[in-house]
Amino acid sequence: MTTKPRSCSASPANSISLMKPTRRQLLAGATAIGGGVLASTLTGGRSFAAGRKTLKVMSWEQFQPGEKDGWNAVFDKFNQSQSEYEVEWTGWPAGQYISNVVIQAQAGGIDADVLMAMPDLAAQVIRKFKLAEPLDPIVSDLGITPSGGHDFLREDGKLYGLSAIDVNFALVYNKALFAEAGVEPATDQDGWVDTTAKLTNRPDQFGIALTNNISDGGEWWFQLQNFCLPYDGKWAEGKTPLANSPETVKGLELWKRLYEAGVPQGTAQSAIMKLTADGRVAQAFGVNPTVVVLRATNPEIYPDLLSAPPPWPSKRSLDRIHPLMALKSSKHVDGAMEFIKFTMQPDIMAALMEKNLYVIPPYDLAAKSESFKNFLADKPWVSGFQEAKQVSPIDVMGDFAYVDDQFGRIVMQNFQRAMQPGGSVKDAMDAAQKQLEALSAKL
Amino acid sequence: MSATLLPEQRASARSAADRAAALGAVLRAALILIVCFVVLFPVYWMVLNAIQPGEFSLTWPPALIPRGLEWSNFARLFEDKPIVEWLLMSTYVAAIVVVVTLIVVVPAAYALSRLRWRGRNLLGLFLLFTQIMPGAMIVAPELTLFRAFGWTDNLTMLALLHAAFVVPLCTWILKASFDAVPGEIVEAALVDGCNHWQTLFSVVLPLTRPGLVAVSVVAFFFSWNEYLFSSALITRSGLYTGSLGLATLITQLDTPLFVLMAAGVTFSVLPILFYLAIQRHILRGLTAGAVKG
Repeated sequence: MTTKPRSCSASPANSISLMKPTRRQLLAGATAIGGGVLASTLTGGRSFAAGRKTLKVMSWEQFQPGEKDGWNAVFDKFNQSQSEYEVEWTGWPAGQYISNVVIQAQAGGIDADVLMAMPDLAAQVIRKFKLAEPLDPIVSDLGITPSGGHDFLREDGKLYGLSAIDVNFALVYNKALFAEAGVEPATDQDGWVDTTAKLTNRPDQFGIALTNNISDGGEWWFQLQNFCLPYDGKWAEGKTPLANSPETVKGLELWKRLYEAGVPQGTAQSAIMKLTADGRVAQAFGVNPTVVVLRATNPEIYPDLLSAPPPWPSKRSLDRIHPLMALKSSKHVDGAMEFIKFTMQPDIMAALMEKNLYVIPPYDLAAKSESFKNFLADKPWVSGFQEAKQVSPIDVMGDFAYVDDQFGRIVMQNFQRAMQPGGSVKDAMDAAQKQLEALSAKL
Repeated sequence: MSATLLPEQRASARSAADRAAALGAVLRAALILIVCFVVLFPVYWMVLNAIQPGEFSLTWPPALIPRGLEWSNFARLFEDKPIVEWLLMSTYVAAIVVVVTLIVVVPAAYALSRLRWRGRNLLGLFLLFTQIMPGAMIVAPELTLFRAFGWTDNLTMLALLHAAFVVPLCTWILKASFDAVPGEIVEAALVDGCNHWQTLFSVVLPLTRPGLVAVSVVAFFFSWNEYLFSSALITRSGLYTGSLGLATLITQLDTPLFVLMAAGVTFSVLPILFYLAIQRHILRGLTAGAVKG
């Protein structure tokens, strides 16, 4: 049997009408509310002072709970210091930052006047996309000498970035838990594994915080990248990957021994940080902002935190300079230069570093700022970071610095197999080496 | 030769069949339970960690039943982040996507289902082909295009882009729904003097409302969850949709785990309510035309 319409104006299916008007009202109401909010955002969002030009600073720092206030203070001071520009944030959280900036660059330019960048991204912006403006006039105007770690920001003798945040790796440890176990921070590789085992009492206490989950890929590689250094290896030399070199394999075997001795295995990085803040992890191999985060999560743990240099003879660890760069594509290059120069002034930089607990200055700030000198003297936990010998990621990654993410993913995906009991690091890195050689052909 | 079973043998055979049926039912139930567990446990874990005090979430063995209630994660979320604004932005974008998708998809599906014209099959395949291209491949060209027209940081244009992505799939879903309408009904309408627009709106659409609902759901959920293009095209924090806002909770070294769980729960509420309101139509819509009699 079929239903036959009587006329074109008829609605034969009224009897099987299934939609309720309330749902329409819901959608219409949601649209109206959304439209209202959007309209208010669009009309109310632009509160710039009349006549000021907007300077966009692209960064991830506005999302960092322990650091955004310090940066907002710098922005406020800059906005008050002159009447031509108003500086505002743009960007994404750290996890999505590099990919989004690269997408922008590939689409023809970066929608900002000033760019803050991770080291590998900075290298790409300078050498691959050629979007950065030389900052040498700022250096000479301020009479500063940028730290040695700035070398990777130079091209043809010109400097294209000045460090806004400089972080390096060392051993952050909880002195109360060390005292309870009767151990001291390790000074060599084997001692590190032994100490970690003594500090571990699963599942209540863990010897060391090491990111170990592929879902935390970026954070894991950030840390794992250091493990070519314990035996003086490198990940690559020029276009030649060295993932299966004896030095790198031994470094990763050290990581695996630590993992077996005292890591919260299979735990998300955010949960490991929470455990550390709760005083349930005795040491972390991390950057100095780790201390900032632990203090923010649990202020009571802060007095117990100290640092020691990387526990291997060379004490070399990665030093990650995150520079501020003025972008060539900016309509306000002068404004971008002015903002960077303002930020680099000793009193402004010192206030930022003190507020955010940054301890590695972009230049010899302690010589120019009494306040910063006193700040450092008052921080017993910085000594390990200061003793670490700094190595740039560019120095250990060769030409792969431009494809750092892909390199890291290949290493981690293969290394995961080695983490199984009885898994061979050498076999995993042999497999990674083949994939990295294929990647080198695309460089 | 015919065999006659004795009453005891018949009873025994029946008993064996009953046992097999019972075993089958048990296995089926076990499989359903396993699948439900795999699918639902992460959701349960998210809700559990959002509502119970944090110290119980990082213990071993983990607490699988709430050992207390604590709403501080939600309080912190609503205090620190403009989550209501994010959800309203998402609703605004998703609502436009649903409306635009329906406007485009209804005539397109009708043309593919009921009209005979040269290139019909080719266009249908071409629509499917657009779905093969990974988003990551076209995000940079899209950004170039949006910049050229000054459409970046514009939620309405973002919604139109979302609609463009979802239209091909929805066209096929609705085409299947239109295909299921008996041809005699359409022909009768045409014989009675209806043109195709009248046939579509007066006859076909009222009979395919489940299909329309299914299309709305697909469009809504796609837009609600979309992140890649939103993050490339929207950089002003005042215009963040829910997916962009949630991502701001995942920061370097310092992700507030339980607040993130609370955000996940909050972000899920509206789609769940939307789904509950229309779920009885969805299966009918998605399976319309799957079996033709």
